[in-house]
Amino acid sequence: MPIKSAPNCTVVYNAINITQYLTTAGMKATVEAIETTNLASTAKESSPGNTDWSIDLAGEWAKALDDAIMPDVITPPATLRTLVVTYGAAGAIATYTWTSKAFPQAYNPTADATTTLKFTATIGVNGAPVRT
Amino acid sequence: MPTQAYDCRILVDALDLSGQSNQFALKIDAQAIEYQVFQQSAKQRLPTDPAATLDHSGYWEGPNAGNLEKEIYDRLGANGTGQVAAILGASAAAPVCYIFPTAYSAVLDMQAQTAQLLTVAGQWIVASGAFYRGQLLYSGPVSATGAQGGQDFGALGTNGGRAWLWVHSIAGTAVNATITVQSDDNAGFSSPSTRGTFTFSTAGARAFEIALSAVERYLRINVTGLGGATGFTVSVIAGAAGISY
Repeated sequence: MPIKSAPNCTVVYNAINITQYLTTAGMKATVEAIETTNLASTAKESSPGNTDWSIDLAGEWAKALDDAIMPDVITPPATLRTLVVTYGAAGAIATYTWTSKAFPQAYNPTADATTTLKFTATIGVNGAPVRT
Repeated sequence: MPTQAYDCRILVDALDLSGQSNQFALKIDAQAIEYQVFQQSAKQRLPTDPAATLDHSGYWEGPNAGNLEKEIYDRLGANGTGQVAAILGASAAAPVCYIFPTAYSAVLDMQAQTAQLLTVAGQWIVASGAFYRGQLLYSGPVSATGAQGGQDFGALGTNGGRAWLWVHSIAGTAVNATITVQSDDNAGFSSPSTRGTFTFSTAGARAFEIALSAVERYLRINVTGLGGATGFTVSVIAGAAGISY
């Protein structure tokens, strides 16, 4: 049975729950396809390569959200941060954890006089998460 | 609670260009380096030195000094640089500010379209050094010496900080007017310490950046000398290292 996205997704960056500032939280794992087609192949062949993980966020800008992310953008942390992303309702949750492997890779606050302050951000991660 | 974007300001040297501007967008890229090693199936990446640009747009209001098009043009590429700040939630208790201490404009984009206003767009890029994040300590008129405002940075800063001043106007003539940045461990500033001093005159620059010595949780400005002027209008932003940026 499908469920609504809200309130069934959470994002915690550096122990700070930033879920309330988000309207979008996208997590994508893309496996590189290494072409292995050879002269004997009858169709294109590929083998899985490395997996690239990315977390894209968007939402309403707030000082608290900015406090959590911006200092790490200006001064990248020597020890990367922990990122925890969960999907699902209570009792049926998938949790993805990058322990000391995350940092803000891009951060874009925007101001348009006709609307509210908004932001987009990409959390970069160093390697794969632990899924539980 | 979302913040209304009209409650933003943008400062370029002595000028508050807010009344001519309707959009800005800050873009920061951590310039991540990707690499791969044996025994790791997932891509590895680490941050390096971040790069920032500030897209800024508004409306044509004339060709003169103080107008958006002229000010962007004057700072195009090698022509010159400016001290630029974008202030978010200017009327909030703790307005967040992004500061480009030395920025040049990389783009001047004019658009004329029938049935539309004539628009001006630019892009600010940090010319050298870093960009910063801070909080607005004070913005407004000053007609006497004394302390103004006060901001809670939420935590003790042990690595000092930086402060930036924009002098928008001076009434009369100022020679070596002074504004200090003070800190204290309480919101009442019962025993403030001076962490840095701005000095400015009518003749000369109108935008300044100073380093602050070790700062405490609360920061404010104290106007210590009008330099002979009857008053001035200023904006002062401060940031605490390890807290704001």
